[in-house]
Amino acid sequence: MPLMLVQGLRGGVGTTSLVANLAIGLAQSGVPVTVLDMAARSTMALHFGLEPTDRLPALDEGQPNDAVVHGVTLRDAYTIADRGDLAYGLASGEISFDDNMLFIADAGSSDMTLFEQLRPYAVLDMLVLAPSGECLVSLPEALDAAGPNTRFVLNKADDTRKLARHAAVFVRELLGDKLLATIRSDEAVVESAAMIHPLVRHAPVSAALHDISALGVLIAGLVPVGGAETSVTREAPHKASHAA
Amino acid sequence: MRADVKTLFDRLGKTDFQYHDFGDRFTEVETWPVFEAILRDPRVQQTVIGSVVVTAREPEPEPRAHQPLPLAAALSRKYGGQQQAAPARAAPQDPQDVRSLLARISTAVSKGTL
Repeated sequence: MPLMLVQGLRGGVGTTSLVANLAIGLAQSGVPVTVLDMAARSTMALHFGLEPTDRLPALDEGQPNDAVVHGVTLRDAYTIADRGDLAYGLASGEISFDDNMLFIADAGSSDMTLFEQLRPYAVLDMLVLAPSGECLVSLPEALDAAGPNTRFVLNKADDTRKLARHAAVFVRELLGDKLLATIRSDEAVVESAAMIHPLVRHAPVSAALHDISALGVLIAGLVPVGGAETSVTREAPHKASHAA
Repeated sequence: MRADVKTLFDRLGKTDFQYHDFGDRFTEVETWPVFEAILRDPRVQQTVIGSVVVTAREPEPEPRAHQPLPLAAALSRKYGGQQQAAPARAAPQDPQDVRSLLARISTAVSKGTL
């Protein structure tokens, strides 16, 4: 079960758009990907070119209802996670995932409890931050709770703005190789959501898309599917929560 | 304007670009109080110094036992922070550390990786 958890250190850092475009890029490169949408009031559908009112099939629904968009299987996992059934099912072994599929879970930014519950089952947990003071102040807590498979991504990097530029330098120095990637701020990302198009269709030469694609290559190497060896560590599934 | 940018514009026959080089020298990065606050946080000291940043540093000529806050001190100096935070014993070799650090940053900037 290659499960990759993605969570924003703060709301508005671009976690959902990052997950969507990362998944589309991985699918286009031949990696079977399922996105688990766990965020409340999610905008995931927009990034796949779906109408905001389109309902994604729930994770506990059967195969026939699968939505495959741009090569990515989309499942709503918010409800089952919110009920606590996902964490319970994983712990009891009642829920398992296809070994030949990479599951990318967008855990939003608000529910640290859910994130901590699922983290032991993830081969990679990726925390997304933005170059703002409000976001950076969450770093000490995130570092304190970080496991061996925790990595960071700096989103919305903008070298034309002084604080963003300095924050990027600071984050690179502070996190070292725990920082997987820096993704440039790009108006095309928000425009693509407004157009209800995937970024790759709205702006195929987008700077952000270029950076996300590079991140995808890196992740494909870190989290191979199909039972291949990974270069990240398997965590014990009963790690104490740091969310309280 | 940087020489390589001027050369590129010359090759392209473009002379009317509005150009601004946004890159900072590392020593010019300002002290932002939020950076200092993060570095002072004991959770950062415990988790980052031992596992991420220190291992990326070049080998030290002396044991680090007398430098309780090497990351905080180094970054504080880099961002123009409180000089007095550095341990007195470490002062003679600090210029070397900073030069080494700046050299790495300078190399990274010239490669376009920073």
